Amino acid sequence: MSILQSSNEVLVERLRKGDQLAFKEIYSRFWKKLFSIALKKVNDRAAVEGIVQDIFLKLWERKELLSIENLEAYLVTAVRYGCVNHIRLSMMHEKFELHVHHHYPQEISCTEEHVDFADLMASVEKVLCSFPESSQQIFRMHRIECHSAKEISCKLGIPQRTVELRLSKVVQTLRIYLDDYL
Amino acid sequence: MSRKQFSDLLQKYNRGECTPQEKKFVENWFGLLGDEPLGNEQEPDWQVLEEKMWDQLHTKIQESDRPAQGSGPSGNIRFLWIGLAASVVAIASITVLYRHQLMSVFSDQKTVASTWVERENNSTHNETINLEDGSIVDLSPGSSVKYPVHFNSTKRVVYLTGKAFFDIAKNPQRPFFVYSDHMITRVLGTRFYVEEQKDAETPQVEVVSGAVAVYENSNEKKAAVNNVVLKPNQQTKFFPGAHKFVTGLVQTPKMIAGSGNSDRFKFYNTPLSKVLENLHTSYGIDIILQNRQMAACPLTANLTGQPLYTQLDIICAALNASYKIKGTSILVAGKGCKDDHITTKT
Repeated sequence: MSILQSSNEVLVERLRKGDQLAFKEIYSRFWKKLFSIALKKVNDRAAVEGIVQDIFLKLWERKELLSIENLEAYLVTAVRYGCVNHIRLSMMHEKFELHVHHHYPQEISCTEEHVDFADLMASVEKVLCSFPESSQQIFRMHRIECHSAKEISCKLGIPQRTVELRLSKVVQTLRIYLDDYL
Repeated sequence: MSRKQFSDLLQKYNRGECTPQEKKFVENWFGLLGDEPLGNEQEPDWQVLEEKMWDQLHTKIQESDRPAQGSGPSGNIRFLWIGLAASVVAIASITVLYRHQLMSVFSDQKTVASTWVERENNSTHNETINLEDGSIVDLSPGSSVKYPVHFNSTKRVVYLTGKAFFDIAKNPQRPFFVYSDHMITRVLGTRFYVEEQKDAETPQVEVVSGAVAVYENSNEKKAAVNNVVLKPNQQTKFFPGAHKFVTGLVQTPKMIAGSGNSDRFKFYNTPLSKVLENLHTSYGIDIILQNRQMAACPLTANLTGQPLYTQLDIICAALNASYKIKGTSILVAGKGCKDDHITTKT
């Protein structure tokens, strides 16, 4: 069977056995999507290249140990972890940029409001639950699982325009709570 | 929640140590990121980018898959050495022939093979000469070069007095030789300077890209083993009195071809070992970290647009380290770093 027509599951199976062509096909199928997701979250081309390279490199290095049910979900999750890691590291960079600017000899004491963390999490959860189930699902599928509005519309049987409207409502509301961290 | 708390939370997420509630929180936060349209950033050229990244990935995989070899780079040099040694004998005998006939070659422009042309640069600026095979010679003022109109079928030979920059067309079947009074520089396809001024003290060869082997131009037996192999950004000086080559780095190392990426020298908490590896790949120069405890020291700096030695100055100032040039390598040493991450503003 032509590799171009193989399903993701077949590709994974072939990859596990060390098939380089399968690996190349997986790369071709998903590389751009992963890159685009990362680029939206991490606005730094070089860092994004590194994040995406790492994912494929690890995929190859661990190929024999792979146990993947859904290749796309696996890769999307991997890029999320990669971005979170990068953001965490660059957060620390900013912290110390402030440090350098103000010439504090010791570690800077935080001037940000000490909002109780548990309270914040609880608030966000509460506000999210106040939305109808389908809206919550749409948010999750679009923003976390990175499906397109069109795909979501097909999967849930909801018109695409409705998907987009519901999504923007959730996003607008959540942004209010998490503005400090965005 | 302070930045530190948030950063700790993200670390827990990466390690899989979050509670379900914390995990959901991070994922929701992640979902909200990046709403602002990327106004300033151009759409990447996807095709080019995909190919470039695949090439890099492909190379990395081949490197990691290859079984460990004894000694990487020096192994290659040894192989090269053996390969060249075989032809050294041929060169030595040819040298005998030519050296005796050198004066006649330069004077009456006739040889067995073909018609020779001599070009002398009497102007005050560089002169460009195009050779039959597409190679280009950039002749410095006051220098002269002698070359055949048609190259020999087995090798390409030119004679140089003075200084020139060579950009040689690659042709492994016909190696290229530059003869000067005391040196023979052998190339495959590369860009480099050769300088041997009349009565000058130390003729030298400097490599910009590719690789060359430099031999002593003499009919004596010991000349056959007296040679060096030069890689990019390396140079060698020959001391005729001592029959010795002294090899080191060029004064202004340049990035080797194929390293164009504007974000290449932007580092975010990058461990020093990776920073040095990056420099090694960019310049083709061995940079050795002498203290293992410095390997993980994180560096945050933007070194774009700076020459190599300035980049090293910045890195060392930030990490309280120092570097020195030893032969063709750069050695970096330091006492280590504390827990804080250190940044520089450049």
